[in-house]
Amino acid sequence: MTEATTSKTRSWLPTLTGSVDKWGALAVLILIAVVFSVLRPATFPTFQNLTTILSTQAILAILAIGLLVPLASGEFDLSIGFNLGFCAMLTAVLSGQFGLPTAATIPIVLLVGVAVGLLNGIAVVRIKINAFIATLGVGTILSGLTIWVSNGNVVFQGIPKDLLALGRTQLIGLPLTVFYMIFVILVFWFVLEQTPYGRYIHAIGAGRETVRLAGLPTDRLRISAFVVSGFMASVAGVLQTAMVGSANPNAGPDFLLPAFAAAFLGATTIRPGRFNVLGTIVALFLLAIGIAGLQQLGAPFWVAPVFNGAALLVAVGLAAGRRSQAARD
Amino acid sequence: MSPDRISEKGHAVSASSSIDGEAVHVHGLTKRFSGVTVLDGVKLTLRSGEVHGLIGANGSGKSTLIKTLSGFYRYDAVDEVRIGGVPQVHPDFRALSKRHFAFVHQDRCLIPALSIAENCALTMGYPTNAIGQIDRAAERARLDALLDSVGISADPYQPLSELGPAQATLLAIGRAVRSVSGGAGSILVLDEPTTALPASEVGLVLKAIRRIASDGSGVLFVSHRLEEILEVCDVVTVLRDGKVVASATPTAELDGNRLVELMLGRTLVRNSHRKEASNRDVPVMVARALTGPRVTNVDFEIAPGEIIGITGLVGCGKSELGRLIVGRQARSGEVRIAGSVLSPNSPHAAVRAGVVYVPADRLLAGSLPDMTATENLSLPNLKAFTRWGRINHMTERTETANWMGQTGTVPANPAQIFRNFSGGNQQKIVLSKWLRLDPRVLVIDEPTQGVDVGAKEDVYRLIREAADRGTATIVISSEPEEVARVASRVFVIDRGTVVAVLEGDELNSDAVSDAIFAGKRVSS
Repeated sequence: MTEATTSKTRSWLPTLTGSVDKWGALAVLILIAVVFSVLRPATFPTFQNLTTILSTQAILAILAIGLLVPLASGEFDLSIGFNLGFCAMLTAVLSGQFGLPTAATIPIVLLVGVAVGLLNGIAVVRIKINAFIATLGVGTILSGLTIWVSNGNVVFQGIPKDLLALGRTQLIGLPLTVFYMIFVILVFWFVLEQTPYGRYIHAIGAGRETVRLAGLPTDRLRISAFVVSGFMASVAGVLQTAMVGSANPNAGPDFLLPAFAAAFLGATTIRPGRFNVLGTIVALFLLAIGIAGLQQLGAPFWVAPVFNGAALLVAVGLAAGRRSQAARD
Repeated sequence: MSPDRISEKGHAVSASSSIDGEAVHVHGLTKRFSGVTVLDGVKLTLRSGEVHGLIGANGSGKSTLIKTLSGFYRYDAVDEVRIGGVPQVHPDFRALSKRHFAFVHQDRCLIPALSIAENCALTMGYPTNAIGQIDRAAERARLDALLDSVGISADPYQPLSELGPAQATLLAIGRAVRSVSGGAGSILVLDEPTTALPASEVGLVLKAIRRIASDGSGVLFVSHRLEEILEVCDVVTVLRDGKVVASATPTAELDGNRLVELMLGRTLVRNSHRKEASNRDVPVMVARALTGPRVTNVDFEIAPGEIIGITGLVGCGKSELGRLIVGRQARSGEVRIAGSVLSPNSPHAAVRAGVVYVPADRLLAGSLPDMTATENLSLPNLKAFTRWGRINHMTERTETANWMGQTGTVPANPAQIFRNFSGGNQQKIVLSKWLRLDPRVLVIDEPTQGVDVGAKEDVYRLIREAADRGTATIVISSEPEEVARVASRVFVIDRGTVVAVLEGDELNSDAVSDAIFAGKRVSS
């Protein structure tokens, strides 16, 4: 091949692979939606089904978006699932058993979420415990506390109506929680992509020492990332109780893996190589629609964790492949 | 004096020696990096029972030679290789070095938190019994023999961190000796084993090296320290610009001055009188008794618009000095900026006071390699591009494009990922990042490391222009030509202290090289 043809081939190839990288996941999302609509025309392409998928994924989306902040800064937060479970239970217990008014319950629970995030941040940044271990330790403590406050029971009695209304009230056929999700998407997209704070968080993930030498308060920023994910886990916890109307002591951990799967798969799309809000949302609904469609086709319920786990492996594998490719170039 | 005469003499000496005891013989070894010849027909003959010194100035090809022998780099050509007298067809140094060469690198590859025994097992493995269990008795016997052979009296199960630096080096040497067959043709390669050691402990290591040689091993001893070379080596090979200028010359025929002449290719000029700084403007930065890791009691001051150079051998503490100034590493002593004290250990305080820093480890500490040029450039004062909490990506990109134009960065694409620029263009982006802020003091460590020749000129120009705008610039470099070219005063560092200050008429690259090696000269 001559010089000229080489450069010609190369000129469109990166553009094409670039577009596949950026929009591939969205295309797959649309494709599987179309495929399931053709296969199950009666049940899949319905407003009812759309509402169900949106409502069931909204809380997970809020959790996963909060998780993006520590991930972008280069740290894991494995406590988010337990944190969500604990905050959901605390919401039910404080309002249902202690009879606190909603206006008191919610600030208390959100403060707890912030405190958990602060604890994670201090353990990782100041005490320098590996984030994986620190957040797993904090999460395990929270799982114990969840059983303590609930006696291991599902709590549903006495949860005030105004609290339930916060999650369930319907607007144009969709529960309010879906609108909270949209609000969170907009806010976090703005913060992570448009503000100095978001840039600093990404920069810390890309080169912490460089950020420190640039004179930025690296430690405070890193701690704040955990505070954000802790806070969002508590928001998701409150909404979980408000949506479901009860709190199950075992519910939290089930959110952990799907949130990570969405975040990591999301980092391979829209803005490939970077944890990003829109990619995460595309990934999350790609997984959710895939699972919902398979279940409508008669797949057993255990297909969900299998699908999520496989997606996480594929996502991380894709990212690793891209990195080693970049290192060879 | 003519270098040619020396190599003739060197050849004559080695040719006259007998083939007996020859462990490794390499002839005509050539290595090129992207067209530049780094090793040019190198000849090296190592004998059993002999300590062979290898010296050369920075950039002479010494490290490349070691890395080629270890098989880390692939050679481009070689005429002949004999191991233990046996000619090798298509020699593969990676395979040969596994069997015949034992390497001790400068960092010694030891883990302080592990015990002596565990550190030995890292490379030697464990002796096991029939069921695969570690045979403690055999291990103990082996360790005692090892420690004894290098003269360490210590419990093999105590943590390595309890050993002194010399003893740790001895352990690394002893461990390496045991990792090769020990038969004909085996060679111990010591790459700057004494660089990190305090002067008082060097003797211990040299003694152990002599003992290993007298036990029959061949030793290749690489060092910057000429007095050590003369003390411990039987013969010396000198590299200059990738060529052997003295091959296996007996040290008995050499002295320190002669070695420096061989390394630099000219006679040593020693300046006896050093001028003290006089009637300089009010300094912008005053450092007093700066002390930290590898740096002891350094004083200096620098005026606005002045460029000073800091140089010395690898490991002399010059990089660390830069880190102390900008707060990257904890320090004692005082730094004042325009009269007020700069708080230590805080890059934040340094940047706020206008003290900025371009580190030598560009990809680890100087940049965000996987983010764009724009994101790298705007990092220190992103607030300038922010209105109502939102970054104005447009002005950010325009500013980056402007700087790319001014500095001649190619491709001038603000959205390109930093890592994908060449070294020189990366350095221009890092420099632009700080020059934008019009800093009071710029500390730049190895400004042209990994920078191609063309971009070098641009980097020097940028440094000069910044100085013309009033930035006090501290250029840290291991290249004498570099500091002599850009700086008006040069501090030479050895073992963490300033050993010479050159300025005015006496400042030129030869004088700087001389001052660097003057400390290494044997007083005679």
